[in-house]
Amino acid sequence: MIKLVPNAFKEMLKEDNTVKFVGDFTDSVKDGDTFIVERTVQVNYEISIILPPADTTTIDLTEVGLYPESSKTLYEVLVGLKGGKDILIYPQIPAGKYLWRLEKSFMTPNPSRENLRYLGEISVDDSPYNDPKLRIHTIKDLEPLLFVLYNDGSDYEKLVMKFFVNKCKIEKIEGIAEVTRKILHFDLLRW
Amino acid sequence: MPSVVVEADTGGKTAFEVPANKIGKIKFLEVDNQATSAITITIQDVFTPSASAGNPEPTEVTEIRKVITVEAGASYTEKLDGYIEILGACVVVASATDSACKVIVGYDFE
Repeated sequence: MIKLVPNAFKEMLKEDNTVKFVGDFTDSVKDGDTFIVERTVQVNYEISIILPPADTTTIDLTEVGLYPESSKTLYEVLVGLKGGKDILIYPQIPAGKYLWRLEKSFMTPNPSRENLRYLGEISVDDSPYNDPKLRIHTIKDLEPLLFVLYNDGSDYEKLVMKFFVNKCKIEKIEGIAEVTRKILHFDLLRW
Repeated sequence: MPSVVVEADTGGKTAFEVPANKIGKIKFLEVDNQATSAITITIQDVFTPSASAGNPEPTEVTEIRKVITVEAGASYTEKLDGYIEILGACVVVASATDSACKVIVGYDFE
């Protein structure tokens, strides 16, 4: 459901594409459920954060409106970043559980510890404003995805986050052999 | 590239305000001081940070980005090429109020 994709713009979902959810996402979207994209519309949305040095803040993507209200909508969100060259971003889902970690139990991101600060984080270079590579999928009632931001610089920094929201109207279908995209549940990304 | 002229004022004059989704970059700075005494010009960045773990209820912050003193009858020019970033409002504060001292700020938004 969250991934760095080299050609995220080119690969955006289009009408008649099919998506298959792998893993139980919500009470109404279960493992193997497949949907066809009936319509899409693209909506841009930007927010900015000004953060003091050596401080953190958290953005809850449900609270900034990046989760759909309808069970027949899928948001494919590309995240482009500008400014804030020293701001590090750590995805968490659900709250408190870092998404990107390694297998040793201590290899979990920790912005307050220098040896774990540069683990499982992304910055502006990884997903630039005009060429976003960070792709997220959200659906109604999915657990909140959080971005924990840490300012690793020595001055206040401003990070602009541009969300390219590909709003997809989806309809459940059966018996499709080939799917355009598999969307993996976040637990499957954290083995 | 836009530029703005402000007169020396101890109360401060806003040269430009940065939109929320942009970062301001000062490209050049000129001070033409035709006043009868030296004037010190301070470039301030005034903004309100986001709520953070260290400061859940932030208030407005003023950061000093540049200080220049220009002698009476002298002028000063510096090409900054954007290395001074402005996050909120660029405010020019002078050590004296005098319409004979003018500050030109060239800037851009990214």
